[in-house]
Amino acid sequence: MRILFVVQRYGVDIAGGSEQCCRLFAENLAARGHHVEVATSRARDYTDWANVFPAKDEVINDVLVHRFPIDRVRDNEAFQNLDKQVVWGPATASWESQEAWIDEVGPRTIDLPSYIFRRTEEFDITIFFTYLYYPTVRGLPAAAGRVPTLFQPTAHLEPQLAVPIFNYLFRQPDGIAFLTEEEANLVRSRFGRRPAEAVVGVGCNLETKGNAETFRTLHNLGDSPLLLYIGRVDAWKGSLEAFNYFKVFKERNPSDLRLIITGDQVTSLPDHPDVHLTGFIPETQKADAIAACTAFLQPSYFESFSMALTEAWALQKPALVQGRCDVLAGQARRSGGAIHYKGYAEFEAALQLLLEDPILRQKLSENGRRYVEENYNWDTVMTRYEDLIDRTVAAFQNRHSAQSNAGR
Amino acid sequence: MPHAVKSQSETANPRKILSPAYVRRSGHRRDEYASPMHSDVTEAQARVVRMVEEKRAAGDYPPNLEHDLDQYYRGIMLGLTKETERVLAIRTALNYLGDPTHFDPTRIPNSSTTVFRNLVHRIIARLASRQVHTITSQIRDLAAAVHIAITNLTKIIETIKDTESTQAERRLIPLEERICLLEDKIRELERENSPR
Repeated sequence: MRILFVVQRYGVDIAGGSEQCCRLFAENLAARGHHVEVATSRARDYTDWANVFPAKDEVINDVLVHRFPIDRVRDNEAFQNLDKQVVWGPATASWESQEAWIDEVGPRTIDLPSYIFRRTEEFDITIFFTYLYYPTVRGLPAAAGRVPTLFQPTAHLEPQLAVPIFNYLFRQPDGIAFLTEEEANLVRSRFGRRPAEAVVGVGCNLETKGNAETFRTLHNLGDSPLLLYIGRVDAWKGSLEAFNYFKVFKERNPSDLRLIITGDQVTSLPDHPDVHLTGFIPETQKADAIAACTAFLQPSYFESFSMALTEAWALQKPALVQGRCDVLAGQARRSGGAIHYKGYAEFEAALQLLLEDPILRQKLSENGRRYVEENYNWDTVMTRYEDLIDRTVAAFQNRHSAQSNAGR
Repeated sequence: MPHAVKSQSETANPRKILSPAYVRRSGHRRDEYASPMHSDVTEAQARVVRMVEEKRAAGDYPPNLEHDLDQYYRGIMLGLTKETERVLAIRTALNYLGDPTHFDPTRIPNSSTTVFRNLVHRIIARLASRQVHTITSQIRDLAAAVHIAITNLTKIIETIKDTESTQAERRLIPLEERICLLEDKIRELERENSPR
């Protein structure tokens, strides 16, 4: 098959979960013999959408990548004003304001929709990643109805999802791929169903190995038990709450436990002797960090999947997850690989239990690994994905034959 | 997923359709996830709940500790659901009604600024104590009945809302499909008529 992906950013060192997810699907399809191309922006950073990558095409792991310039970096003041009105305002904003908001959300790649319109018929299917950004909002209508279109919204519970412009967007594709049951329920309850749908998840590399000693030596961590968080440091990711929880936990339960935070600091954290911030780390170091930890912490309130969690389970680590996030609580229940908590009291009790009970840690680790092996090995995921692609193409053809019949 | 910079306006007021309760009601039931394979983990989760209950009973959590530590979550959720403040108000009122200590004779003041009046109040309180106890007991019973009635009414209202939205959704889906077909048709016509 000839497949075109459309995504806001693309590259091996892009930290975003949905961007990584897109790259992994593209590369796995290429590895299975499909011809895969990607249309994306030249941006590396989502906070300003500055043109960083060169404009020329490049091949990354057998995937041909076309990069489009961003014609306007984000005007943060204009964005904040529109955001207050469109997302947080008491009444529904005008359609014009919503359109302007999408332009400011960015990355505004004005050549991309016309490129999709021109080239999309060269492909058997066009796949769009992430519902929120300009390339999808402008690109999906350019392809829908002309070729089969598959949408991977990576949606989670957030106020942006209620902006009416997305009602139109979610009606466009022939098929939708979800990452979890919870994401599917959220989208169906908000937008209804599309002809072809499936919960496909995201694959996980089960062969990855980490070296705990390398990470402990590199960061001078000794033999202390470690609680590890991988992700951005900001309130929406639950990491500020996790920092405060940990601080109080240590005051109430003195021990040599340390919290390791690996990820970009969108909000800066105060210094704490038992909290170690590494900043963003590459994939190899990430595996070492997971291997070194006693337990993995996922405190985010809003997740559509959490690849970091399945990676921790693949490396046989027990997890402690945010129970206020339906996706994480659902994954914890289905896998038996994590304890979930709601609020500080449960966090404290769950962490005490994990630290004091090695048999429980072992049990969670085994359950997590088994869950990932059964559900998220790439072969299983890609079989589901290719089946969904076939059904999406069939749905497109059915729609068109129905349309032809209606036109007679 | 990295999203655009988010503003957290003080007047945040988005749509109720995103309330977790709405999503949960429209999705599948929670117990679908319960797996007999993970009984040990279910037990661990129950142990967490028991530990919290024991500590709470022992007064181990300082006042406001949990409330203060929830500041980020509260801030975000207040902006996320339109109904949150109203729901919180109902819950607070329900908690008040459900707490029997709010209706107790000991809460009736019988002191006064002068010694004579103080004495009179205490004598009257002593004389009327049987009646006061009976009345507060009746008020407690009434509050409990009102508490149950409002709780049940809330559940019924939620069920009615669910049924209505499901029926509306059922009617909307075929309409959406028709609109999609018309949109496709328009695009096809535009393509046919566009200059080559």
